[in-house]
Amino acid sequence: METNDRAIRKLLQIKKLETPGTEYFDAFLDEFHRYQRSSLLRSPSVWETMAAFFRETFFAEPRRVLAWSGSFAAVFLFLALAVLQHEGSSHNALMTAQSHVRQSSAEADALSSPQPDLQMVSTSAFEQDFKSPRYVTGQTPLSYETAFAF
Amino acid sequence: MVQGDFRPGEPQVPDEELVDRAQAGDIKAFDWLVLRYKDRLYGVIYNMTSNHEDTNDMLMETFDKAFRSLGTYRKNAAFYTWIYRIALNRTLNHINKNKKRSKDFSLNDIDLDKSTERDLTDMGVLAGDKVAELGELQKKLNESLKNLSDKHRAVVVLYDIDGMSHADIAKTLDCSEGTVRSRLHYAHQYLQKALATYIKK
Repeated sequence: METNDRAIRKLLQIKKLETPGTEYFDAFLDEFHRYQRSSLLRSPSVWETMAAFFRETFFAEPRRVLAWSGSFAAVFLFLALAVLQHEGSSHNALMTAQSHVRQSSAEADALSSPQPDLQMVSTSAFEQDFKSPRYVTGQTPLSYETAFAF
Repeated sequence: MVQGDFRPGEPQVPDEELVDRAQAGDIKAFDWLVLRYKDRLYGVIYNMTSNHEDTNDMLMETFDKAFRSLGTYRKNAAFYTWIYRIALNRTLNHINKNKKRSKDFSLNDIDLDKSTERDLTDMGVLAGDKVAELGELQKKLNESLKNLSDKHRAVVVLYDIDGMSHADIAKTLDCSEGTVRSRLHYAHQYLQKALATYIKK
């Protein structure tokens, strides 16, 4: 196996000989300076700058990707918990409000429904003499006591 | 050439000192870094793309990016693994963007020297009409490398062709040494099958 590894390595040395020639490397520094000058003249667009930033920041190094995704996950989790907590307290408030409403409506029902000790008066309140106090709910006159006097 | 080796005519200064000088505004120091790494980076990008024109563009972009990012370079990684990483990231992005035309080859001619010729003859790769055989071998090698996934090819290029160590490859590719060895193992297995006719048993 080791012999084969060595043989492959030797064979791959041929790749080292595939070179563009000494002229290319001799002129490389001048070409590089020219490239740098021309790239200075061309200012990148906002989109290019942003794309380069995201590419370099998020995708260049696997560790950075992990760090960034971990940070995002933590922030997301925090926000989700905050929203859930807020919703929970809103729900509690809603439940309290609902119970209050239910209690109020029960009281209203109790008032509107005829009570056993209340007596229905069939005649209009205007037709009665006003010796005893009369309570009118809607158009139905109610009297708590038949002979109530101040 | 490994980090710390100098060529004739180059200043006998390690990378880190040139980086310090460049960071302090000495543009000539960055030029020395370009001259020091242009051949090796060309080789890495070329062996990933198998296309001279693309390699030239990527190489320019790599040095340009390195120059612009020099202010943010921290010495927790060697300069050469840092610039190799820039080159490989650019190259892999380019390959992913141009998947459709990835089969286009624009190969350089092989400049065969005596020692390589002797090695290849000893291996039984070359015999008789050397030029014709070499052209065929070059094509076969490129096809085999192209059939590897980008990650496996990167490891083969850095280890087998460029001569980088496992540890430095791991730093460059931001993975463990075990991953590097594993990728190399599978890549070699594939290449052994693909190039079986050229490997002397």
